[in-house]
Amino acid sequence: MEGKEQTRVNPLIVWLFTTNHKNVGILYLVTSLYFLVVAGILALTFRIQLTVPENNFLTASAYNQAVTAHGLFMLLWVVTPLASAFANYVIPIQIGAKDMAFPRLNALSYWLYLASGIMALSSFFAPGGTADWGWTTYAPLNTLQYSPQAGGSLMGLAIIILLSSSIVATINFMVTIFRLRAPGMKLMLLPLFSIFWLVTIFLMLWAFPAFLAPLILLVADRVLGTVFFTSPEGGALLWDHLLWFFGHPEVYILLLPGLAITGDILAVFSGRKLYAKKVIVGALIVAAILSYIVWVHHMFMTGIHPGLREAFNITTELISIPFGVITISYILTLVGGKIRFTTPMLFAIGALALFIIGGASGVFNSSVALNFGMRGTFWVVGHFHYTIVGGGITGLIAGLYYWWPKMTGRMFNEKLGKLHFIIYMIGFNLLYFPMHALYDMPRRIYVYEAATGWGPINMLITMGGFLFGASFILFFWILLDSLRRGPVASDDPWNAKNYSIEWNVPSPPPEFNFPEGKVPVITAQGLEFRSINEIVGGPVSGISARIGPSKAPNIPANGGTPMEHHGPHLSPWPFVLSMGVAMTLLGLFFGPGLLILGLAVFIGSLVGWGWEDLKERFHVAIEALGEKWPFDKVENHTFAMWVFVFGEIGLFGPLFMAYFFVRANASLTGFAWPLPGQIHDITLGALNTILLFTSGLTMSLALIGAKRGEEDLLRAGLVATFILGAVFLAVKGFEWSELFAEGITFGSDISASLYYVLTGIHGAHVLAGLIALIYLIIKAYKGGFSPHRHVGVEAFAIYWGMVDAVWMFLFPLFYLI
Amino acid sequence: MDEVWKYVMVYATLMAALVIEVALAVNWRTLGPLSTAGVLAIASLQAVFGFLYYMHGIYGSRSITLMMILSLAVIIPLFIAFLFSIEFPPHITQITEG
Ligand code: HEM
Ligand SMILES: [Cu+2]
Repeated sequence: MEGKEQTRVNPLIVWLFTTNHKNVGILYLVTSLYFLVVAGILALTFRIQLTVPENNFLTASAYNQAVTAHGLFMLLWVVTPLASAFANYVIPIQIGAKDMAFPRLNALSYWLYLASGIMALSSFFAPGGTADWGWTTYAPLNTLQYSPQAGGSLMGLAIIILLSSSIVATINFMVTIFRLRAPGMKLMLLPLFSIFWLVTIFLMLWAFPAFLAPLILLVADRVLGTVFFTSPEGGALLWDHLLWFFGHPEVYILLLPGLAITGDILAVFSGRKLYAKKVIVGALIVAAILSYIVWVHHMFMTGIHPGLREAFNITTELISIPFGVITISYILTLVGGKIRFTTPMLFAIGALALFIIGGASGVFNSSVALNFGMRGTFWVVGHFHYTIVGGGITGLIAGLYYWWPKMTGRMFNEKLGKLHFIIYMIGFNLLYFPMHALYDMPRRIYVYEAATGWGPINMLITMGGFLFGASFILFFWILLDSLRRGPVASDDPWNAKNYSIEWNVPSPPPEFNFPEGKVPVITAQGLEFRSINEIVGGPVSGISARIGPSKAPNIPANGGTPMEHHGPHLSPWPFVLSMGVAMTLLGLFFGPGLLILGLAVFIGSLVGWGWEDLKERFHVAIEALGEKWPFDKVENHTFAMWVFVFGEIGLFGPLFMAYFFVRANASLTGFAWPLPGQIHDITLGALNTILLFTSGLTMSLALIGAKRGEEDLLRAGLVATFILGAVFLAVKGFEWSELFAEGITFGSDISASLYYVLTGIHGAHVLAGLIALIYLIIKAYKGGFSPHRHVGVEAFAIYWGMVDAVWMFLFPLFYLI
Repeated sequence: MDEVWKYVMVYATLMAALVIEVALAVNWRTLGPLSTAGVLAIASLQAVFGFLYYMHGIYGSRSITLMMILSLAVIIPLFIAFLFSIEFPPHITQITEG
């Protein structure tokens, strides 16, 4: 089936089964805008409640749910997905690739995102409503004692799925940006958006799993009855640290894409090069590193060591330096330029201005002394809305206007765009600026008395809120109007040809982005499209020789360019799998029928996906032949697996830290930690260790077999690994059942909670490994591996080694010390 | 050396480490904190072996090793912060008193 036949496929099927990065980008765009509307409406409801003193528009519970859902939706389901929409759509083009490295995983990211969104929306309809603990989900507000409603747990699960989706996307972008760049496309030549996005995914790589960790603990507390956040050994401080360790990198994750787009647009529309791009990127990297060591500024008022407060006061104040540098470079980019005040440019200038205000109020926050007064007041709400909405979202809106003609092939009405800008800016500042005057009003109350004097300012804020909301109605109207009757856009409506590659291809770009059979090449003279044969200086067989058949399975023998021999770009499985996940988890709350159906769909999708692979029904664009620094030596799949492993460290690291913290606290609270051998049988633990160590050996032998083409060794190694893994799980199951029989359950005490959850997560990894092994074994028996084609075995060996390595710590932590 | 043998040697090393680890915990528990430290040190060494051989990090590129180190380094601040949060535990007094 050739690409052209696809146009005859039912459009609904195309949208559900697409794996093309541009389609996925549009799906992200539409969905994130939908959540923007939902979260915006929620905000208006609680703004109405706060407009006048002693109002009773919302009940306390409804207010809390609205505030919580607003915050979570905006942070997790709106800002980053909106940025992902652009990243999906333009980054492959900007780097000179035909698609993402793993198109199906890309679709999976989107569908899991949607699945998580459906779950989050459904949580409103669970008994008792949704989460009501504020977006920060502080303990003990997040415990069953204060938030008994099931919807809270569902929201927790929804976030877990959302984070999984982001982790998949992170891996995909990491491989894509590092390894699929066009020849000559050095990292520093990329536009800011691609560079900033790369840094953003580095933040996501370790920050998102760090949020996954406490969420898993929380959901375990709420569903299984563990005691992480209700026991004195864990409690509020455990949550605080883990949340904010994620939380501060997260605020940059929200900010950076918008800030990047702002910079790109400032350069394009002032007709100048970015001022000191290298300095900007350097500052960006410094800020990214610092972002991991400032989170305690959100915890100045918890009972931590004063020395810790001082240290984090300093790091926090330091972080304003790199952002100051970026801001100044942006301003200097404008100086002396011939500025074109188009709609994207206006929004970019607006984003910069608003971000400066937000950054300035941040400096006040970072002082421990001032923070004692302002913590938890509307001042802080003002601060972070100026940075996230002002700097982040305004930048993304600029980006939507900027890339709209590229994505749709249509121009929009400039006059209305400018009107939008004016209303947006007035609404924004009316909404958020007065919040600074409410530096004495607590942010988490739903009514206040008239005597406080907060009434008039709140009135102003609500009016600003409605004006701001109205600006979005105009925004959407402009976009729809453009779709309906906007003038056709040229390839390069903004005269940005020399700035980045996407303006050198049609609007919208063809399926594989570049002219048929050509790929972009960056030379000293600039961008050129060359046929693939020219690049490697010879016929296509030359490419096969160079990168080896294992890495380019679909190079046609007839010498045509690889992409022309492209199979269908559709796969149902990412969609089906995600819906299976959503149904299963919703089934936990809304009925066993749904649960069973969901499980069936989920398992079916795994089988289907594996089958599609075995039959090689889905083809991935071959590796680009261009820049891969600094990951030239790893293959795409193994690199992806490594990135996954790094993310796993981001998950297990905080979990082990939680163990350490809880255990150290136990000595203060007088909790008697069980002695070695007292509860967990050392012999059984050692047996399991031996099983895993042995399976590591058999897996290595399997890999050697694959490399040497010794099919018997490969098969025997895989089967032995499977058996050992399965026995490991059986022993684990036996241990658990024995413990249960002795009356030691999830919630018996904090040491039991830790044991069950940590070994449970590890066991889940073993189980996932066994499922992957089934696939590998079938493939091995079908002769699917050869000395040149065994990346699957190689990647799995890395995974299995990691599962081993985690156990190397779990065993001593629970059995020996 | 034949690759197969190399992995058998790695396996043997891991098993030997396991024996010492268990012995430290069971027979030499009288060493107290030293025994705990020894167990954790062995676990860490095992994990390094796991990375180098079972995950084949030793054959991988230097960038991968660097990323591995970075991934672990990210956790260090969390460790320090937790450490300094134990000393002043008003949350504990609050919960136990209340
Ligand atoms: C540029 C220098 C910045 C500094 C020095 C700074 C500092 C701070 C400090 C100390 C707090 C805690 C305030 C308190 O709770 O009393 C805070 C809160 C916050 N900041 Fe910043 N910030 C800066 C920039 C940013 C940026 C760029 C963003 C996001 C894009 C951001 C997002 C937030 C958020 C979301 C909160 C509040 C979280 C909450 O309590 O719910 N900040 N900031
Ligand atoms: Cu922060």
